[in-house]
Amino acid sequence: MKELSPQDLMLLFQGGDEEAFRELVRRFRDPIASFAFRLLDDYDRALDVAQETFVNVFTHAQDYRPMAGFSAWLYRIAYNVAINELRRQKRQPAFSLDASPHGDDDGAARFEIADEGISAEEEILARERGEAVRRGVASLPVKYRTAVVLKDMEGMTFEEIARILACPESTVKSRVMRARRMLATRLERYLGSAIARTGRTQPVRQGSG
Amino acid sequence: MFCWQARSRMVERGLRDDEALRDHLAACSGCLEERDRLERLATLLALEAPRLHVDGGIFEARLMREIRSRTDLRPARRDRPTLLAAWSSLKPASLGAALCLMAAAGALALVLQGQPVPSTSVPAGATVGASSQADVDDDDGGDLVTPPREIPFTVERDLVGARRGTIPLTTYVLEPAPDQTPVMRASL
Repeated sequence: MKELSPQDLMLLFQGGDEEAFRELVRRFRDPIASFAFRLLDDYDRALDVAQETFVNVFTHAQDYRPMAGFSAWLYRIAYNVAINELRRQKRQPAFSLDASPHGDDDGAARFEIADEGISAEEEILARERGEAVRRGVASLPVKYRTAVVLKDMEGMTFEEIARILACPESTVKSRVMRARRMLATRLERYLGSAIARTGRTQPVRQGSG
Repeated sequence: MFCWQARSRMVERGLRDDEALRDHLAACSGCLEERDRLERLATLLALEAPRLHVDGGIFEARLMREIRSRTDLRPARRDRPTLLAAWSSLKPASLGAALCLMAAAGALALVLQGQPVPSTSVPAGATVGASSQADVDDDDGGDLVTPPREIPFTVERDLVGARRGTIPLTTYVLEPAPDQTPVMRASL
């Protein structure tokens, strides 16, 4: 089961194999929860969106066509669920004090610390930088936020993003460009330290498939 | 290459330089600065993107419980009664064709029994009850004629003698004997 591709697992699940569905959940729960958190900036709601996404996969499994990549199909579901959640909670403030990145109320999830063995000062700086990125992304309008998260955090191609957002590639490129400009302005003071610390890197795609 | 082309290419092809872009960047400090700025931003976003690590056991248990609760509340389509499923699967066109077929079969049955096909505008019960009266009406051109009732009569003595019987209910004037006065014995 572990060596099968997500498409193969989905086909098995369409045939009634529930263990294939569980394997898909195991592979994609972290990427989908992270994606939801990047869009919603709320820990509990991100978990709810991740759960709802997989419920939709379970109940709409017959709608999946192998021609479409499973990852794009899954992210499209997650995006739609997250957008519905954003609309539903529109009156609530964008920054929730309850959404602590270290919150572990029910033990269901926690944030990863990227580098272990770093000094306390570096860790504080890293936390501050991470918090700034989180707030900067959360402050973007939803359409720009979604585009830049999918491109620069999830590492997707423009074609995949266009399929997920159901809009032309040119629109996606325009949104990414504008989102980057807005973010670059808001995160100006952190841009120097990021490149100095790590050198040039490319976003690593999570949950390939 | 113009600056707008260079910046568009930075977005389209990522921040990796190609030859044309490299040539432009060598000659344009503004675009070079923009490229470096976006490169640092991309690095920052990739490094600091918030990542959630979900506890698999709790998440999966909660997820499957939610799925069970929803699928229990909403039974699968194949669990519906067969007859109900058959009706719901009928399309309007096939339903109309079936109704036409049933009406045609009913009309044919009536014709084969020798009865006139009822008019579509008259209820069947009313038509059956009025059929005999309609036949009478057609025969006499529409006038209502009922056969005269008969009444018994007794003649004790006349020119023929004593007689009894029934006669139609109408006016009769009996011819009296020459030596008697006329007597009305029956009337309308």
